[in-house]
Amino acid sequence: MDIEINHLRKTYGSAVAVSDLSAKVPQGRMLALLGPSGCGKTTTLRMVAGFIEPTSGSIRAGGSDITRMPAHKRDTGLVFQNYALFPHMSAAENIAFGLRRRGVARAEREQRVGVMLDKLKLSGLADRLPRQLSGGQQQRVAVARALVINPSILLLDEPFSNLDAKLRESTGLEMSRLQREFGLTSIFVTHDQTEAMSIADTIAVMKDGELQQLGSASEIYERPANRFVADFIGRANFLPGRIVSRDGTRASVALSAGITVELQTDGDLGSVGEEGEILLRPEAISIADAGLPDTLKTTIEQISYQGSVANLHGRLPDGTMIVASVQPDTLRGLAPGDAASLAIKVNALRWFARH
Amino acid sequence: MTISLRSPLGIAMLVLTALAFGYLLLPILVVVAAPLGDTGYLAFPPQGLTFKWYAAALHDTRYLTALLVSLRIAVISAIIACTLGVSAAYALTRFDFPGRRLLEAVFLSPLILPTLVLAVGLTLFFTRTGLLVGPWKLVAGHVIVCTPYVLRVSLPVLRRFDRSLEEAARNLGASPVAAFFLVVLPVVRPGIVAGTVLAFITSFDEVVLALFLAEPGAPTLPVTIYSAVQLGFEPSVAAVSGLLVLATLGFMLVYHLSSSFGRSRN
Repeated sequence: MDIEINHLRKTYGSAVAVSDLSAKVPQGRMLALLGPSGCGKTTTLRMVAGFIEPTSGSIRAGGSDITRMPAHKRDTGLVFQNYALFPHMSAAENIAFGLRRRGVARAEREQRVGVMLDKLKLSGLADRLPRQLSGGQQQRVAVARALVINPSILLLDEPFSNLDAKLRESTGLEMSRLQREFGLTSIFVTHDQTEAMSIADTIAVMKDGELQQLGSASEIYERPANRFVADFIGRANFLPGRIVSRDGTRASVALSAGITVELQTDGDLGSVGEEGEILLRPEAISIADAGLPDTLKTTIEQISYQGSVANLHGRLPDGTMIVASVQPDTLRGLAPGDAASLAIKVNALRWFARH
Repeated sequence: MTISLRSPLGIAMLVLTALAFGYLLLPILVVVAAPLGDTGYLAFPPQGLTFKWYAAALHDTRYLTALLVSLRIAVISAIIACTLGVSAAYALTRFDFPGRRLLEAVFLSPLILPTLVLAVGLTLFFTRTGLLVGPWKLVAGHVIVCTPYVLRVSLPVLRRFDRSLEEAARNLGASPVAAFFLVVLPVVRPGIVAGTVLAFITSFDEVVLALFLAEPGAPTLPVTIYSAVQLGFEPSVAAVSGLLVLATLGFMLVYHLSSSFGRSRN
């Protein structure tokens, strides 16, 4: 069942929680609502689940309008951030709750709960109360409870934020596998961009109730629509500069750091003389031989070795701080305090005008 | 901090604790023990040993009838107070509406209003209007004084209640009413039970409203005891009180054993 959100808006008095949000999730796909806290992502999810009534706009599921449908009549399974397991019921009773509400006969109910317990590696824990389960186990019960009713839409409200880092990654992949296996259309709320990029098909980046960009992980990372998205997704260096010449999608930008770079982009480009910043991803920077032209002269302040990469923190001549992710073997004995020349991969640059 | 019971401070604490318990429990011991005396009046310590006053209390149908009246009134009042109190607490915690704080204050006001004032007011009201008759006048009076107890106890419990549980139930297909009975109520039940027990005890123990509002032919137990004490202080009156204390003790024991049994089973 596909989901179509049209011009959704929610206001509380004069405060705007969500303003004019439109997005489509095709059948079987996963949309991540991504943004900092207070961006309206949870409000949007709660409107889809039916806990909050939108001020205006509509939500359609499988072609029919569900905007004002009561929550319990919607065909959605929701996994809560705090799991919201019923504390007075065992794991199996929690999972069976939705089936009971749907009047599924005892034999079938037990069989379906059993299948879910197996699938989520919960066999043997069926009779435990939620407080007798670990965080990861509780999370799996919450997922089983949402999936067992065969919802056509799966909603996830920061379901991994209470798990430790290691468990988070494996659970995320497991979740994504289940979502594909069940062919569920899914909306997933998170403030963690790595999580969103690793499991969602489409990402909606939100800020202050407004949609900033809607696209695949690579689109959003490589072609961010604005400075906020560029900054929020992944790590970014912003180097101030001015456009000195312009020819279609190409431009030359004189950076305050002292060099001029050639820019080719399908994104925004201003006219000659416009002040702004170029976006430079840390991995588009490499260490060059000293004295090469068009390299950034940098004073190294800190080097943090990460194993597969080393992050080099440096200061440019104009005082701007820069981060480069480089191959550790290219460091060649550089140490904090040394001068280094940094080369830029030009096809990864974007231009953001200063407002 | 732990204090050795052998240290001077520890001994002082033991003595103080013993005194506090004695202060609380000795009067009750007097009530239970005094009717065992063989004298025709109450004396403590009792002289001689006889169960005749206890037997007399048990055989006196006035007390048994009054006990049944009291139980009936207390059970009905507690059930109504529980329903009203929990509904009010649910609305007060769940919905934000103008006058919410005022309403909460109104609901709790019977706690500070002198019962005598309420009793006189209700007597006048029922005499004038004839709205309620028979035992219902007293039930109405008791519901007014008992509801605040239920409300007082259920308000914090419902405030602490995690609303996402209710939403989870709704999401899984439970109507708002089903979600309330299947999830909210079971989770907050201990608080509601405590409030209802408090309401029951308040009604069972209440004298002033009962004096004014009880049916003339069917006084409650506290009223019967009160009149008996006024007429002449027979040891059998003390024996009735003693029986109540013993019954309470028995009830507490059974409750404690059954709940600790329930815990060990889980």
